Amino acid sequence: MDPLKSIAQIAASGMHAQSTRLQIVAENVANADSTGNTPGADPYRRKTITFEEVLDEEAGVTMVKVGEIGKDDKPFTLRHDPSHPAADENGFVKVSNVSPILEMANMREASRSYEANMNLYEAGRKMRSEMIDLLK
Amino acid sequence: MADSSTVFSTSAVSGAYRSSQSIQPAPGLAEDAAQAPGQTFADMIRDAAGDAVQTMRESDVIAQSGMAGEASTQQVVEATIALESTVKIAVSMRDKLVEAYQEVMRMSI
Repeated sequence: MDPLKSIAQIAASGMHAQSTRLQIVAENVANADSTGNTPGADPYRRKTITFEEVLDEEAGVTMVKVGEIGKDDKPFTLRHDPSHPAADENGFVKVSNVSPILEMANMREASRSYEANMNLYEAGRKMRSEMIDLLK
Repeated sequence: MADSSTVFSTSAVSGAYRSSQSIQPAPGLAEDAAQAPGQTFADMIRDAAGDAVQTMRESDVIAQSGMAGEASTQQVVEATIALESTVKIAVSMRDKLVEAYQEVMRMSI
């Protein structure tokens, strides 16, 4: 297959994977304050994402895809809030294990990686269009 | 300006002409011709144009479903860029063909 054409395909798979990662980050950030509704209920558990390589047999190129969207096993923290509907008999509410700093770092990385893939896509497109311009 | 006979010797020119007559076509080309006996230049152009039209239709469909919110923005952009380069190649090839045709028509007989 035309390498310049496959660059577009590969970079597009990277961009897709990174946008899924950003989606997970957004879900984590949005749900950082989600708690249970019944006494002692579990709050939102942070989601994790992994990537894996995938070989396109037909085009003979290695691309990336989202491997698994899992759950973070980190224990929940407790907050003293007796009036909360999810408070247990001692007045403690379980708070989700989302760490805003970690999510921010993750967001930055996803955004930078998306940008890198975008630049590759653009470079491939430009090279291809310059090659076609030779026909003129 | 120097006369051409002083630059190229006549015997060298006729020798080159004779050796060019004995050149065989490349083996790959001969095999291709044997596999597709009906494949002419016009057929090749028709195939290429058919592929181009196919790409255009596909990206049209994706663009429409993008407007309807079914395809992602990235898919729409990818399809549009594929369409752009296909159209560019098609137009360049057409220009070349028209140019060659006009060149032949201008030939004084």
